[in-house]
Amino acid sequence: MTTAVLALTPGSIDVMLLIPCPWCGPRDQCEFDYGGANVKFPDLRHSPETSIDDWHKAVHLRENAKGEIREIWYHRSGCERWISTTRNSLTHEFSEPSAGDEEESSRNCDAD
Amino acid sequence: MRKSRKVKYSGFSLLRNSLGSNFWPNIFPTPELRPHYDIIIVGGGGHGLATAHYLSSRFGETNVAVLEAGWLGGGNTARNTAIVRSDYLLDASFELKNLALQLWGTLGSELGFNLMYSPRGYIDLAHSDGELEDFILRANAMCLRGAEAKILDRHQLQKRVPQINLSESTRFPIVGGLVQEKGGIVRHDAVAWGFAKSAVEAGVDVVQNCPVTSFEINAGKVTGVRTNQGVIGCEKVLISVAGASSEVARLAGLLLPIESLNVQAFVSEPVKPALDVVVNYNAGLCYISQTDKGEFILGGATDGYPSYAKRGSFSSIEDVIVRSIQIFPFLSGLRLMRHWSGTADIPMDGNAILGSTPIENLYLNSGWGYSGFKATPAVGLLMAELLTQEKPPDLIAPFSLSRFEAGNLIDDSGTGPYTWLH
Repeated sequence: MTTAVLALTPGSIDVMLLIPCPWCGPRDQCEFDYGGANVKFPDLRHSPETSIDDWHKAVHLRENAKGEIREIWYHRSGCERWISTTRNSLTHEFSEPSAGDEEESSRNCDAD
Repeated sequence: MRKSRKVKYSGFSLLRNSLGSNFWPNIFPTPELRPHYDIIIVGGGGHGLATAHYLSSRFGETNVAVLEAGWLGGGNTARNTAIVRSDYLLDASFELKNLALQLWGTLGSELGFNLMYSPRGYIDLAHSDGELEDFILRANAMCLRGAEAKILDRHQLQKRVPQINLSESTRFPIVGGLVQEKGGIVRHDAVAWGFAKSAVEAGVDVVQNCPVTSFEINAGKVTGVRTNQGVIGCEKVLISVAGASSEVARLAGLLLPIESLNVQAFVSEPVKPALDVVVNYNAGLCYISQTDKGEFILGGATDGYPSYAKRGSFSSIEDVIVRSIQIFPFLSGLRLMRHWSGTADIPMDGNAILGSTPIENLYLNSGWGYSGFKATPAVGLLMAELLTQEKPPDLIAPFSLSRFEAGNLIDDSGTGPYTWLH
């Protein structure tokens, strides 16, 4: 009986994250490596304009919100691409990718 | 009611008052908030309450309030696996935890509260010759700084922990271990209650169900906090909120180099005494001890991604169980009884953030990840010193918030800025 309840309410209990890969569809978390927050890093090609503070912000400081966070995952046992997702850190629910997400993922992720 | 009646617990008082007397008063009566305090501590966990205890007992400062959003010790203080140890390589992290280990020894009698500190020994297992070499480096570093540490080869390990599985046919065979005999376990919720009792008896106001909703900041200086019971003025504020560090610091406009991750722990059904030492499996993570009630208590690594959910994924449970059975095959015959999670605030270098902030009179004790419990008394003592003395204590200087911008990271494992790997 307990098993049936667990299976019927997948949103209420995390058997494992189900990550929406834009290339492969929803896949178990065990296929992925976590890549951290989706952060815009300073552009190395224009290094004279990049300050220590820019790097400090990109490498260290995190919103760490209790709510929606934007992050990247590497689909190691799947398409072997970096993907970008938006996930709620309190409920573990993934949001549908938006147009803005795609623009963001073209910066940090494989987008070809 | 501001002052509570002082209660002295002892075996004798237990005998004398166990038959229906009216001896057992509420040791944490709800105080009436004063309009202004010298020091407000946000967070009534072990660290915040320890700070309040040392402020009153060592530094004579009792115009102090501890504001707790939930109940005392309801966060990570009572969610950890109760292990204490100081087997760290880098000076800064070792010194803090070793000071704590020295304090644990006499804390129960200092507080008049039985903390059940059991220095039963803590054993770290190595799974390759290279890892054992690394342990020897760490053990030597510990001995040089005056702590005791011993390296055990397979033969000695089998003698020290007869139940351990040293089969070479396992996925990650065990080749030896580092043992710190002074390491062990402490009854974790008693730590919160003991510190709180001592602080309340000294005149500190400990308030539960009192979340801080914003900070009063004027010209870059904190002057009070806003709570569900109104605005309370103060000279200084210490944020000591473990897994809520980012959220509370955000109320003061601060962005921290921290991410919050879920860490899980479990207990088995109770059985007769079978294990008299704490054992940590290092291929992955799994730390095991047996409580005095007989339950086996198991903990593992983080779930691997930021989360405030306080409930874990089943894959992490499986990871921990698989490792525990590899060390102690007899555990496979036991059923898990309870399972819970805590939110660990892990900084980019994996080490705590202690000291001042860019906002004057606002201080931070955060970033303990899942290693905060063992440091509790040392943190309390040093934070109390920080809040009352002109000069910040030397031991916490390396843990400043500004170290990240300056590049002076304290990364014990050399992991890099990946919180979920620390």
